[in-house]
Amino acid sequence: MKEQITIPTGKVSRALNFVGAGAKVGANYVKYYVKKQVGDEQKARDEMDQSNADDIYQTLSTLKGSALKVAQMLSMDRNILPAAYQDKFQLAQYSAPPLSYPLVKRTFMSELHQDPEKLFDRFNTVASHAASIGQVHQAEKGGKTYAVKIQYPGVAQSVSSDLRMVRPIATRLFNLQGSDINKYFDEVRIKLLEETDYPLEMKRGRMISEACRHLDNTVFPEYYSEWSSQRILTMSWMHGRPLPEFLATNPSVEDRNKIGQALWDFYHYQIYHLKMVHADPHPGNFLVDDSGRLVVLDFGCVKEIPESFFRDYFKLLTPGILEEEEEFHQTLYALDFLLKDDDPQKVPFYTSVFKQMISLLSRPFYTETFDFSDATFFNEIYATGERFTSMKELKEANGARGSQHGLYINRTYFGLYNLLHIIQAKVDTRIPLNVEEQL
Amino acid sequence: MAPKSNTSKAKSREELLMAFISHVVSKGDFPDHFFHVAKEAGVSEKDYYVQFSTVAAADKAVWDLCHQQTVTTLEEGEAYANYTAREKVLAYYFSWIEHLLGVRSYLMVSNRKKEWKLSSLNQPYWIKQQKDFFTDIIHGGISSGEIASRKLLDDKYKEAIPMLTFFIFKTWIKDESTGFQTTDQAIEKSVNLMFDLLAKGTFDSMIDFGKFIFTQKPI
Repeated sequence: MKEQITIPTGKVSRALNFVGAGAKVGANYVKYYVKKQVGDEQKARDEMDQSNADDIYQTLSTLKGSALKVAQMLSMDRNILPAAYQDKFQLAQYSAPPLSYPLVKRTFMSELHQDPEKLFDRFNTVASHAASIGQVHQAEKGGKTYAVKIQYPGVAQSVSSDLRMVRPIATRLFNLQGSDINKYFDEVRIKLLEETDYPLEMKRGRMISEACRHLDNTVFPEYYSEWSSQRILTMSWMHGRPLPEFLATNPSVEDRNKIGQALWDFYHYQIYHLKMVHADPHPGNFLVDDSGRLVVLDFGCVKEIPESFFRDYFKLLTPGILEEEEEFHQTLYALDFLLKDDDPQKVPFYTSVFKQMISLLSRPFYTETFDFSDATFFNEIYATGERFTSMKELKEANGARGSQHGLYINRTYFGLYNLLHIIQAKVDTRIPLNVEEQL
Repeated sequence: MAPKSNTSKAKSREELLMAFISHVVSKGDFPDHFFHVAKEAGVSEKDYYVQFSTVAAADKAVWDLCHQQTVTTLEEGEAYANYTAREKVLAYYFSWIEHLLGVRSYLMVSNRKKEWKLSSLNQPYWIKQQKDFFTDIIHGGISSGEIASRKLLDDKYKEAIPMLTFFIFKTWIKDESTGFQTTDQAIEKSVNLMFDLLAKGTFDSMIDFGKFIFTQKPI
């Protein structure tokens, strides 16, 4: 599977998301963050003489081509940025100071023309927690508890300007030409703007949860249109523990596998049957309720998968595809991993690199069950990435490789693998039969 | 701006003011006198001069009214009394721009013709009233410990108010965002900054450190 092939850009998108989505942190913060993390990591420190952000950027910019981007992104995940990276990154995203209650009230007045205290029997003036571009307040009415999400002002307006700010860094980071990077930036901009559109989130949340309601051990909140608007979204309050808290209670193997399986089934049902997917699998978007079921929150980032992309992408998951030279080749072209103007002499080399990456990363799909607690699998990914990083031929590769649709799909798979690894789950990973027929 | 007062005199004063506002908006400029304004309102010029001795006085009265209405709105709100000083100031400005919105066209003409300057903000009566209003909030904040008491400086805190008002007004009058979201951000961020500076913290440590360096001369 080639999600990791473009994980670099997946990572860019995360960096973009981070800077773009109203976190109001300048690009310098990203630099600072990388620098700080590197300071913690002995190996990275040895590799780059000083933990200076500029040096890191220099190092990264000597790498070229998308397989290298993969490698470098993977090594970032495994090494430069330690395991806690994901968590911390999410936290950093929430570092905007909370909205004052008068501003919450003003948002209610201008969007719903009513005081929050008048709409609900009780409205907690202190936010319960932060969401990616807003904050959540708890409210009560008629004995029911609600979660009311309020978006920070000005997020939608700042998306484009924030992207402009981070663009030169991304271009330098992955050594892309200005025009190459456009397709990725457009994709990211559209997704970020969608995230600020609460009516759209409500529509998609309702649709996906309706379609997935029959799945075992998975529950979703209800949405309430009468108390929602462009920047306010009201849902039923979901009880449960955030994933890290759940894991801290030392859950049994059965409980961990149950959550892991629920996650896997939830994602694959969406991808195969709905052709749209909750593209933000980070620990903060899930809770585990008292009966050990998965609670899915936040449908702000949903990727709709175009039919043609779906067919090409998942063709790479079918066991045996790697042996079908011709078909494999065509698929690589269809997905922009190989470019029309590539030097014909280098094509066999690129092909072999992508083949190795894909066979490694789609390994979970080749067996009936897969144990994500297996550290050797993740280490192998890392070692392969490391090996590719040092290859001269790959350093000289150019062009933006990988379809823009892959950006969020890769991010989704990457997040899902990470989550399953954190949960230490063993899951049934078979592709449903009727899906194989579709491919 | 909705008429609100219940005494007949104040009401007519407000009506006169409304006629004045609509005259300025439709002409796109300030008149030199009340002759045409009075004619349009169907009253005698004298009625105007009794209330507002000059056109400039009428202009100030518009601001005055916005401030008064804001204070009334705040004091009528149930939750207001329990707010912290920071929340009170935030609530004031959010409510203030809500009232300004009612006369935005007028204020746009006013802003274009007179080009507001920070220095001109120390004169008008309504600014003094605004300062007085905030002085009470600041004193409340000092006694609750939310704002650091810095003795002689305490009475100077309110001097930051015209700056804040100026900044917020200028942001709002130029704001092109949907629902004035940029102004919302400006209020939230500037008031938070002011209160972070007023709270015991960096500022005091800096002064304390300065005193130490100056008196002890460690290096």
